[in-house]
Amino acid sequence: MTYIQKALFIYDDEESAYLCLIKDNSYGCVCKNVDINTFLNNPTSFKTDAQHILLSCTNENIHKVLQEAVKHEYSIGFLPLSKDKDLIRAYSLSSILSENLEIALRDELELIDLIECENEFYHLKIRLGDIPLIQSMHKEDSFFIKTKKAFGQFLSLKLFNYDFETSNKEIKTAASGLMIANHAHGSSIVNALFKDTSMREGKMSMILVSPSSILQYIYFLSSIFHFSSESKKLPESVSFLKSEKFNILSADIPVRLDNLIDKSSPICFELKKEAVKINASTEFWEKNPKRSNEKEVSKISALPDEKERVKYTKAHLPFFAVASAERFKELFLILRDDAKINSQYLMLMFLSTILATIGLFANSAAVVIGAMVLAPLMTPIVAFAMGTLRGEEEMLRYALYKIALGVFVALSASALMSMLLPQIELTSELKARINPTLLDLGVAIFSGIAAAYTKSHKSIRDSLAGVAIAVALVPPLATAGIGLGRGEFYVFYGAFLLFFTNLIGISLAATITFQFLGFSNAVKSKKSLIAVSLLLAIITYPLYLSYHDIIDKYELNLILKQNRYLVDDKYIIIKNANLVHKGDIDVIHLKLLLRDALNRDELEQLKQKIQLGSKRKIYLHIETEYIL
Amino acid sequence: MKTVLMSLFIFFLFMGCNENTQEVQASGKKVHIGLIFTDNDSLMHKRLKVFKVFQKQWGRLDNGDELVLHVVSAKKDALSCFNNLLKEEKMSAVISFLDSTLMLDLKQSIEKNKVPVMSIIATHSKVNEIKYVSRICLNNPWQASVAAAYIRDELFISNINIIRDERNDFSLELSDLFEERYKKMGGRVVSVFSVKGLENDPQNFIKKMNENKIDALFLTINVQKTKELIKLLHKLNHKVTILTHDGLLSAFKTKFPEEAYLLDNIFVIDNYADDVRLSTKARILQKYKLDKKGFFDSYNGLSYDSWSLLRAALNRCKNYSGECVNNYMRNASRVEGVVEVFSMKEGNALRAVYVNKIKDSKMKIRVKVY
Repeated sequence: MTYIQKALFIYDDEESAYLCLIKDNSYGCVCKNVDINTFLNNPTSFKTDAQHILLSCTNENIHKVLQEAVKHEYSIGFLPLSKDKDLIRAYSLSSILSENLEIALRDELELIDLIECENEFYHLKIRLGDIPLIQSMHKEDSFFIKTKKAFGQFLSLKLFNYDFETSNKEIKTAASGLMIANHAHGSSIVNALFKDTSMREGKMSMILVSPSSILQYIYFLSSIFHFSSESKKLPESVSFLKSEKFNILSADIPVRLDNLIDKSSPICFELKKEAVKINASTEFWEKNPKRSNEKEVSKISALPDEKERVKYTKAHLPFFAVASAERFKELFLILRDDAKINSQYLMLMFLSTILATIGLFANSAAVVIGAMVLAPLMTPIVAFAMGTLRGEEEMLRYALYKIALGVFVALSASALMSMLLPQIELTSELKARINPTLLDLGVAIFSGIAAAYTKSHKSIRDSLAGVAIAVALVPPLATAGIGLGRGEFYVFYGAFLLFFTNLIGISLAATITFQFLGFSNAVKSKKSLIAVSLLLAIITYPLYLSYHDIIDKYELNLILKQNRYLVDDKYIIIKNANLVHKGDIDVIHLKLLLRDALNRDELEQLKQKIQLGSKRKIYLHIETEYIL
Repeated sequence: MKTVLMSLFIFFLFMGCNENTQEVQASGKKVHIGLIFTDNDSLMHKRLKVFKVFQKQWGRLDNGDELVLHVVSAKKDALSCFNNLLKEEKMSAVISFLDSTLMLDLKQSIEKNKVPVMSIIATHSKVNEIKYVSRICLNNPWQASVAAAYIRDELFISNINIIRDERNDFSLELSDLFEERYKKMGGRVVSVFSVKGLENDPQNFIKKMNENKIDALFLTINVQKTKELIKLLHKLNHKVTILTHDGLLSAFKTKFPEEAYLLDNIFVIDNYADDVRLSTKARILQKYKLDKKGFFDSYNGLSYDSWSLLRAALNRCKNYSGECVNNYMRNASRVEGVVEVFSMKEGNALRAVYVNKIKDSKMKIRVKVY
C-alpha cells in the first residue's frame, strides 16, 4: 500500500488534540497543520505545500472546506471525531482515529459527484417538507422533545403541491416531503430507500413520500423497517426518481441541506459530476460503484396526479384512507338497492323465521343454522350503516323500514307458529337466547365488521358473512316471537334485548369499519351515529348486569367446588351449586354429598356458614346424596 | 367539559385510596398490649418484626389512642414471666405465642387478673376452657375432624396408621381425636405407633408398620421426627399417603430449609395456604417483604388476624376494660382477616381450615373446610 507523502491537516479548535498524532504518523507523510480560519482566508496559498487535505472539523467547517476543495482541486481524506456519526456513516469510516488516518493517507484517491445548489456543494442529503420519524431531529433536543415534535409532525401531516422538473420531465404532484441524495448513508431506513444510488454514477436520487392517510403513512413506516436491500418493490406511497437535475418550482417549501443549512423553495439542484477526489474505506467504494451511462429513473405510480392532488392538499391527511370514487360509487349503488323493500326479502324473512322457530322447538342446532343461511337481514343493516356514515337520509329511511318490516314479519311468524305448536318446556336452544350478555355484544361487533368488510370487497362479496349476521339476529327474533306467542314476557324481553343488542352492535361496527376502509373521511351524519352509540350505551347496562350474573355464578361454582363444611362433625361436600338472583336475595340450589342426614339445626348451621361468605341474604334449596 | 372529566377521573382514581392513607390524629393516650413468646422460639424476631409493622401501619385506634407493645420472652417459667408482664403496666390485652402446655400453666393467673389473652398457636381444646382466652388458630377437635373426613371421604382411604409423640399433649390429643372421628366414619386405625420406636430402632419401626396393609399415615409428631421418618420411607422406597398437622411446613422450612423438598406430596392441615389471595387491606403488608417472597406465611397470617380482632375489640370498649375487650374478642362477628372475614364464637375462631398438598415447598389448596 502506498501513501500520500504531503498533506495539509486542517482542523478547528476541537480537533487540535490530534495534532501530535498526525505529525508523528507512521505512513511517512509530511503533514502541515493549518488552522481552519487560516486556510479559508487564503486557500490557494497552500497549493504549493500539498494538494491533499486531512480534514477534521465540525460539520459546518467541513462544508466550507468542501467548497474550496472543489474550486481549487484539493483532494480530501476525512478524519471525523467519534461523535460525528453522520460523517462516519456517510463514508463508512471507523470511530478510531488511527484507522481513519490510515484510510485518509492512502494513495487511492477517487472522484465523487456532489450535489450543487446555488453554487454550493453538498455531500450528505437534502430534505424538503416533512417526513416524520425519518428526517433527522435536532441533536440537542431531549428524547422527550424529539418524541413530542415527531408526534406533532405526525398528526399535522399534510401533502403539499410539488411542481418540479428533472432533466427531461416536468412533474406536478403532491407529497408530504422528499429527500435528495446521491448515495445511501445514514440510518438503515435511508439506506434502504437509497440503496440503488452511487456517488460515482453521474445521477442523484429523489425519494418522495405521498401517503393518502395517516394510517398509510404508519403502514409505510412499518414496511420500511423490514424493507430489505434485496426488495425490488418500493414501499406503498413512496416514489423514486433518478436524474442529473431536480428543479423545485413550488414556492415556500422548507429545505434543509446536509442537516446544516436551511433554505426554502423554489430551488434547483444539479449534479456536479466528478467534483472532488476523496479517500474513503473499501466498503464505501463497494457501496458506490462507478457506473457510466446510468439512465434516468422514474418510479412515480404512487404519486397523485395533478387532478388528484387537489383533495390531498386541502387539509391535514385523514387518519383513514379515502376509497376511490369509483369503488365508492359501485358500493353505494349496491347498498341503495339493498335498502329497498322487495317481496323476495319478505318471503325469505318469513321462511327463515319459520325454520328457525321449528329448530328452536326441536332443539336442533342444525335446523337453526339452516334457517340462518336463508335469512336476508345483512343487506338492510349494512345499508343502514353506510347511511349513518354518509348521512344519506333516503338510504337510512329505506333501510330502517326494511329492518322494521323484517322484524315485524319474523315476530308475527314465530308468535303464530308457537301458538300452533304444543306448549312444550323451553329447550336449551331457546334458553340460550334469553340471557344476553356482553359476550353477545362481542359477537355482534365482529359480525358487523365482517359484514362491512365483505360488502366493500367485490371478490368476497358473496361469502357467508350474511350467515354470521343471521346467527346473531334470526334466532333471537324467533325466540322473542315464541315468547310473545306463549305470553311469556321474560322470554320476549330477554330474546328481544339480545336481538336489539346485536342489531345496534352490528350497525355501529359496520359504520366504523366503512370509515376505516375509507368510504368517508368523516362521519357525515353525526346525529344518527350519536343515536346509535347512545342506544348501544343504554343496552350495555342490562348486558353488563347479565354478564355480572354469569361471573357471579361462575365464581360461586368455583368457590363451592373447593369449599367443604363441617357441621357437628358431619363432613359436607358440595357436588353442584346454582345461583339465582331474586332482588336482594340469592337463592342457591345445592346438591350435597354427605355420610349422615342433617337435622334442621345442622342445616341452619350450614346456612350460617355459607352466609358468612356473602353480603347478600341467601336462601338454600338443598338436595342430598349419601356416601356409603 | 375536559376539566370536569379530568376532575372526575382524578376523583375516582383516588377514591379507593382512603383506607390506606387515612391518618388518625394522635390523642396522646396509650393502650398497653403485652406480647409473650417462648425464648426457644427461633422465629421470635421475625414474629416481633411483623407486629412492629402492624404497629406502624395500624398502631392507632379510631379515637387516636396509641397501641404500645410490651414484649417478653418466657424462659422456663412462663407463669412468672406472664405475671411480670402484667406488673409493667395495666395491660388491656396480651397476645400469646405460647404453646398449649404453657398456656394451660397460665390459667389461674389469667382468670385472676381478668386480662384478655389472644392465643395464636395453642390448639389444645382445654385452652378454650380458660374464660379469658380467645384462640385465633384452629383447634384440635376441628383439625382432627377435618383430617378424618378428608382422608375418608375425599381420598377414600380405609386403613391407616397413626404416629404420635406421647410426651406431647398436643400430639396425644390430636391423635386420639382423629382416631375417634375416623373410626366413627367407618375407617380402620390399624395401629397407633409411638415415635419412641422410631428413635430406638428405626428399621424395626418400619417393619412393624408394614406388617399390616395400610393406605395412609396420620402424623402428629414434631418436625425433627417427621424429617427422620420421611427420610427413612424414602430410603426404603416406601410410598404411602401422609397427612400431617398445622404449622409443620413453616417450622420445617425454618429448621431445615435445605430439606423442605422432603415434604413434597404430603397433605397438611393448616390455617392458610400459599395460593390464597390476601384481602385488600392485608395486601399493604406485601410491601414490607417480611418474608423472602412477600408478607405471607401462616404465622404472619394469624398475627394479622389477631391484631385485626384486637383493634376491633378495643375500638368498641370505652376505657378498654378487660371484661369488655374479652367479651368482644370471644364473640366478635365479621372481622376482616388476612384472607377473608371471620367470626369468633366462645373464644374460637369460626374460619376455614385448609387441607393443602405440599408441592415445591408450598402449600397448595385442595379443599377449604368451614
